[in-house]
Amino acid sequence: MPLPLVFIGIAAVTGSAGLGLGVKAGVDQYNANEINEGANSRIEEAAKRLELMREQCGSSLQNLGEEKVFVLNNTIKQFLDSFQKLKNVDFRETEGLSELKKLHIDQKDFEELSAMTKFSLSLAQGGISGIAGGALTAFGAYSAAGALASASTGTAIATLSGAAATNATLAFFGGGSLAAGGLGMAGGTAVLGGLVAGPALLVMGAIVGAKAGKNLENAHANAAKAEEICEELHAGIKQCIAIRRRSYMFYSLLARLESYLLPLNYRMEDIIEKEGVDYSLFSEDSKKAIASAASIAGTIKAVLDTPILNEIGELTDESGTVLSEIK
Amino acid sequence: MKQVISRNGALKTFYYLMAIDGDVTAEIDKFNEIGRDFLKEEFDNNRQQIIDECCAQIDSAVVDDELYDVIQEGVDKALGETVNKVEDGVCPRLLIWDMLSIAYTDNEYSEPEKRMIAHVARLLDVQKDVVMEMEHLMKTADAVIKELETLNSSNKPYSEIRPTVDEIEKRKQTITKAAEELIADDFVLERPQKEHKVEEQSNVFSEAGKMISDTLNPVVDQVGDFAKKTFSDAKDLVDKIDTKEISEGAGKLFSKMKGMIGKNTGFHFPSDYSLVKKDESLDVGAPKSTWVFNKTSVNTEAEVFSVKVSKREAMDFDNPQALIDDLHGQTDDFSGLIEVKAGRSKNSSKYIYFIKKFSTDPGQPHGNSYLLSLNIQVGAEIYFVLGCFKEIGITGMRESMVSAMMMSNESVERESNGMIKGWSRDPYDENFKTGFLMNLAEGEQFDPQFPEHPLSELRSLKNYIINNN
Repeated sequence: MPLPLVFIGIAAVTGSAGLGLGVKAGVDQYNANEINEGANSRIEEAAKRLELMREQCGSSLQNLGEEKVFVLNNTIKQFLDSFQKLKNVDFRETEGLSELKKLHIDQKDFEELSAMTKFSLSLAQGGISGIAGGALTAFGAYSAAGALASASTGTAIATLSGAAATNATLAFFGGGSLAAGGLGMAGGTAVLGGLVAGPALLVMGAIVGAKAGKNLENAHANAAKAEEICEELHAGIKQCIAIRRRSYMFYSLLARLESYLLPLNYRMEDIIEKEGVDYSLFSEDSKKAIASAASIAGTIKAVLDTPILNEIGELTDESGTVLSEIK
Repeated sequence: MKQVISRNGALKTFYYLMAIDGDVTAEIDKFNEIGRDFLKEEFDNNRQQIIDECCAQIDSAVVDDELYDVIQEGVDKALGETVNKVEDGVCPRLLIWDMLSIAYTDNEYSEPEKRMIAHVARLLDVQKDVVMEMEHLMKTADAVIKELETLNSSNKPYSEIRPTVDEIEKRKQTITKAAEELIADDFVLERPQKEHKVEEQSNVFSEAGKMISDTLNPVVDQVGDFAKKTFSDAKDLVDKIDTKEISEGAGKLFSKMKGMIGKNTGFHFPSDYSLVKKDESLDVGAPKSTWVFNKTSVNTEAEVFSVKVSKREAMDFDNPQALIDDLHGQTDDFSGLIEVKAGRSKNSSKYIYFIKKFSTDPGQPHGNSYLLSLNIQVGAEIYFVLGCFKEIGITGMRESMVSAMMMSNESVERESNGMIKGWSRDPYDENFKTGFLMNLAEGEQFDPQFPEHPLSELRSLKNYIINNN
């Protein structure tokens, strides 16, 4: 008998069998504390932690971007293909789903959803060819509708990659390893909503990027500044964790909504096959199924439309509100 | 230092969780699989002992209604089996995640399971938002598994469903990764310490014994000195408390500060407290830059002081037991200890506080006063909050009503003089009998029934400060 669903075994802590590097990395960080002495070591440890969090955060935004692309290209596309065949749709008459009487999916919403699926197809193709760069990270962080609007003057990938490069926070997350000099626009400027300012970032780059020489000497130089730099780095760590957690919450929310929509899509296909395309002639059960699918599709659109980060890289209040309302 | 549960203790906790819905037999294979993962070859030697111990605990329930309580007692004991090294045991967040995983295996996350996991999370100081996030992730994992079952049972050709099947596999891995990183946050957020750790000092001591006493004794003395100073200040304050007198004596009343003052100070205070003074020294010798708030309700007059302190002046966040011992040492006939607690807020701010009670009129008691002394570290700043909450209006109502309610219950044990047995006792040491002991009516569970009682007001402020900073 296998272990229970998504059970995390003890190997996650010990790091054996190459599993669970997330937990093992955290434990290693904790143990590093125990032998830490002096300001220099604290800065180094804090910088390493921030680097670890930076990578995790970038990965979470990219996962969210990929999930958005998948949902649009598959389940939403499937829903639209069926729903747009229907005629005489009027949810006000659907009994037993009183909240749907207020549901008003207008033509504009469907046009936007259709446009988003085409947009996301270009992202998916870009991902396959390896040229997406920070595009998926940006798509994870931003509103899908917003990304669509930005894309109107150019190709999707170029627009979103551009966004990732010019937005300091996204560059920080998606711009490659610091060791490779991948600070993007962030080098020397404030990121993460101003929480990790230039000097601390340079310290981090110097330590994590293993750039020896002058930068590293400067980082170690001033013990009086050490605590201040540690505070900045730690604030950056907390911000990264907050963004990562918010991203994964949106990821799992989208995944859950998609899992509810998929069987309803199949049901819609069966209904159309057996009862035709005139909604007004459908049985009550069939009407409820169609209405439920439309409701979930509308909710998915609301999630896709909610940005995680604003222009300066801070978590949006909107994303917190959407999470609690939809949950 | 994180509390790390031994692997045996974790396995017992899992067994109890499986038992909470009834028969464990149906899930014993799952338990065996988890046991082999956790203990490897040692599991075969330990297995029967673990099961026998758990079964003995479960069987001690006399009636079915007791089953949950008996299981909870067993879990509490199991959680007491701790180890020192993280690698040798199971950290709190990992335990919670795996408990959720077990609870979801039978596709039903029952109320007793939910209750037990919430209880363990509270005991191990796992923040509520973390538990909620884990529940959210687990629900998603459950939903995607069901989606996979739907796909496999559909009549769609495999070529058509394959992209979704692959995506579901990826989702399971992503959810596990999200959970692992959430578990690891507990360690990542631990800050590198500036001072030498006691363990390091022990090593130094073995080489130079004088160094340890020179380093450690002043720290212990500081806690004592600070506590002593606070008590004498507090007693003076309690005697002096009369909000109207202070505001009239000051000659001016600053405008009310509505909502948070955090924008200026970084520290959040509830809006139903009025700012009386700021940035001025007070008669009681408080430092400059002390903020003074007050609040008056039907049963309470409260005066609260807030000021930043240095790490040297603050209480030791990591040693609440030392604080308890010191407070016991300071107790006189007219004061008693209510509570001491240390921990981290949901924003990961370290805090430590104590609550004491005082009889304001030793000769003829007519109403108590309660003192809150709280240190909370927000970012790089440590805030000291000293609150004095005096009982006014009709006094003693809480004790009267609670004791009357208990007295009416014939099963409550009585002393020979008719008083409720155990009515007054120290919350941490049943053998400590000195002073004005805490009574049963002062338990936190009665706060909602007496919201304007000074102890309830004190706890409400304390919780606000901890939850919002």
